[in-house]
Amino acid sequence: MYSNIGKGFAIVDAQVLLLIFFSLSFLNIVQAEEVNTLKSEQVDFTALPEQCVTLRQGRACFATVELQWHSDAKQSFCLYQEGKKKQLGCWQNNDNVQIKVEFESNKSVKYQLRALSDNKVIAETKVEVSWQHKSTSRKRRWRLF
Amino acid sequence: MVTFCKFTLCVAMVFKKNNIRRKQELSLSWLLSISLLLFCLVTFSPLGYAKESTIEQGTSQQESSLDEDQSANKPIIKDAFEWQFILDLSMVYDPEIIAGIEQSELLHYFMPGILVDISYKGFFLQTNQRRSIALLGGTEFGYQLFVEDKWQLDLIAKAYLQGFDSKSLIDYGGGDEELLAGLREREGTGGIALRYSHFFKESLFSIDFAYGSAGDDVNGEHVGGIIVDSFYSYLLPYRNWDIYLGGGLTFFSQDIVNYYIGVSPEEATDNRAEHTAKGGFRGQLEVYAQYPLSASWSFNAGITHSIFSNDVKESPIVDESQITQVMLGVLYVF
Repeated sequence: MYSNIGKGFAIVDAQVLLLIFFSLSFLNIVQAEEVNTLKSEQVDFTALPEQCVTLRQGRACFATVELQWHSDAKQSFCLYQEGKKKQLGCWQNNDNVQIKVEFESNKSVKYQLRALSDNKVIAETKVEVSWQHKSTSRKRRWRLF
Repeated sequence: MVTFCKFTLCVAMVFKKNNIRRKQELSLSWLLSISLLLFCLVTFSPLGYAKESTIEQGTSQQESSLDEDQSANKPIIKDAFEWQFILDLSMVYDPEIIAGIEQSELLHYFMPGILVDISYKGFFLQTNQRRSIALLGGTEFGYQLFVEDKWQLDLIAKAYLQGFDSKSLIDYGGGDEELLAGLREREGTGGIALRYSHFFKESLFSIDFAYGSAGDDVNGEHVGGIIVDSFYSYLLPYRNWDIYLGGGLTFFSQDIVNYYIGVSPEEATDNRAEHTAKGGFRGQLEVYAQYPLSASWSFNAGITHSIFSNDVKESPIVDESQITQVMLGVLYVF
């Protein structure tokens, strides 16, 4: 019986441990998210326009995009286009920056603000590319009159 | 050769006369008949789906994938159902070669249209030609016979020429009454054609070999003839602009030209001499540009200069052999 109780305790212990483990893991995740959220909240990063419209699917879309970041405290960031190594600009001890970039892409592009110290992504914003005419297998001709 | 029936003219006529509506209905039913005919021909012939059959009936998987590879560029086989409608709200300066016809009221310049693009299994209904005439006037029905990387052969049915009647031209087009009164009604010309298209990197050349069917002449005999319509279009993208530079040459056989601008003995008057028109050409130069304003709206503008064979001016009802048409408007993509 003791042993049974013991086994029972052992099972309960294991369950409690698992529960604690998952709780802690969950707390860790929440904590981690909170850190990100906290940092994101500290930095307001926007792109204008948010959408670039092209006539045909697959065609490059062109726009002059204004990227702006604002933070409550002065911070040091570098601006990157996702997937590209070269930064678009870096700023030290700034709390409000506006930059215009020439956008040219046939798909949506993410811009990232990364901490100057550790290159960690602090905030992201995106310019979506949409189109009016879907690319079809049929090639069309356009003629006026 | 001439597009006489402006949309506003047609709209005005709907209320007083039903001629154009009747003509459109006739041409639509004609188009429908051709469509059904084409559908039956293609459905019951192995032409278009020969490769598909091979794929379905192939004995080994290797053979099937080989066929699939070979037919990778054949939209005939893989063409899924696709559709798009575009509302065209345009103002068009659209002069005619017919004597005295001009747009005198603002409403005459407003020429809305619906551009259609539907395709399924090689069949297509499309409005590639952005001439803003009567609502679906520029729409073509067709079937892709052969599709290769660089070229394509289609069987198409479309309206090549718009008709006119003298009363409407006088009442709503400002036409010269003395010159135009009493002319028999000219019906639109629908045609069935083989269209060969050749694709280049940023351009496209197409040529239609068509048999055009117009209405009956004064003797009640049906008028039809050959139309060969070629067009080259070069796409010049500049930032978000699509700029199309185009040039075309069209041949109309004598029967067709004479049907429209000839003057039969029965129609001849003191002010309108009898005239038998010759076959002729129309050359065109065109610039057309489109720019997206939002996800659904785009701005578009274009100018077309058409030069007709000088012979057309020999007709007493024609006073111009060259016209310049201008279009400015917006498109809404559904």
